[in-house]
Amino acid sequence: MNLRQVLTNSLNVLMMLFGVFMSYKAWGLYTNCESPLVVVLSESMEPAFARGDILFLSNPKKAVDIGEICVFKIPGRDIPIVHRVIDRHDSPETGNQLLLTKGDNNNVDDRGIYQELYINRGKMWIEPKDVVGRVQGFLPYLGMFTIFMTDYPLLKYALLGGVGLVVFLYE
Amino acid sequence: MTTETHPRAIKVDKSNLLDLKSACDDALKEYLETKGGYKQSHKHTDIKLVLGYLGCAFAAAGSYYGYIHPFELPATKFWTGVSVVLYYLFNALMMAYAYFIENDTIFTGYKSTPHGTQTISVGSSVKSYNPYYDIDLHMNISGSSTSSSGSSKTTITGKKSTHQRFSTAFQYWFDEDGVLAQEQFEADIIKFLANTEATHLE
Repeated sequence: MNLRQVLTNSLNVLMMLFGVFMSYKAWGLYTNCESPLVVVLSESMEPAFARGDILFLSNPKKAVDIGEICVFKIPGRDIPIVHRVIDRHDSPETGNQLLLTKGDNNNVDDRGIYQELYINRGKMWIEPKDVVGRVQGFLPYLGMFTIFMTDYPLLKYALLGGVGLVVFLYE
Repeated sequence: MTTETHPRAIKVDKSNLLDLKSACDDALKEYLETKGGYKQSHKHTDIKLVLGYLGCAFAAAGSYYGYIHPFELPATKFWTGVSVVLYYLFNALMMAYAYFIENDTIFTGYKSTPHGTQTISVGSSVKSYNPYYDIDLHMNISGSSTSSSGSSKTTITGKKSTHQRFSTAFQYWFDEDGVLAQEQFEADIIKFLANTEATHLE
């Protein structure tokens, strides 16, 4: 293989990766949500969502309403949580909201989770800035594949490497 | 004509039209580069590579910008949007180039002749269920070259170009076993080239 062949094959691999990545970015811009696809990891929203369900998220302009299911991040915690909004307080001046959430399958609301970290002591509500997305739809169980790959990272690298190699060697 | 023994016989599945085509493409390219005296020009590949890598560079830059800046900022969304648009634009340009300009070109090359630099562009195609190999020959003498004789320097002005199409059934080039008869093939190619060059000089 000469240089042009190597460059052409590398370009094919790059375009395959960027093609997926850039359409995800475009989808993110359309839905106003950085990661419009998430996978449910816990059972706290049973029976609505089970572990392994894929959720479609977006961030509409209108205020969050009671009953909506939000994916939110608590400052200091990396893993986002998907729970239902059970209470809202809107500030008449600023329009900012104070929201309380609860997992359908949990016995208590999320205040305990909010305050778990010392830096969040006294945190009684989450705010729209903590919300990373609002659930618009879901696909059951398809995310199991992602969970499997997160549990066994070797599988992910094997898959990526395999696809890359096939594209690279394909003329 | 010297009979040259070819070190490797080209054998293909003669019921597969695409196999036949690619065997002829390879033989044609090899002939033009070796005996034809043409130096291959990679302009189509290079242009496509530049367009493709430019698109990827924009995508990478936009992704990096989005990685180091929070998504909520309007600037992040703007630049991410710009990179997405540019990535797809360059992708589309690359595909359009391959589809409309490169088309069925299998070889582009050039060689110096007394008349100037002669460029050649060869396209080949087959149609489904049709055992014919269609060759598109484009030749060009560019006037940019100068030939100096004594003290006077003459520059050929203008571009002379010619275009010929040839269609040959594969049965004239492949035997029962699907082996390419290289002498036969090359003789025909020489004929096609001469034919095209002849129209050139008119």
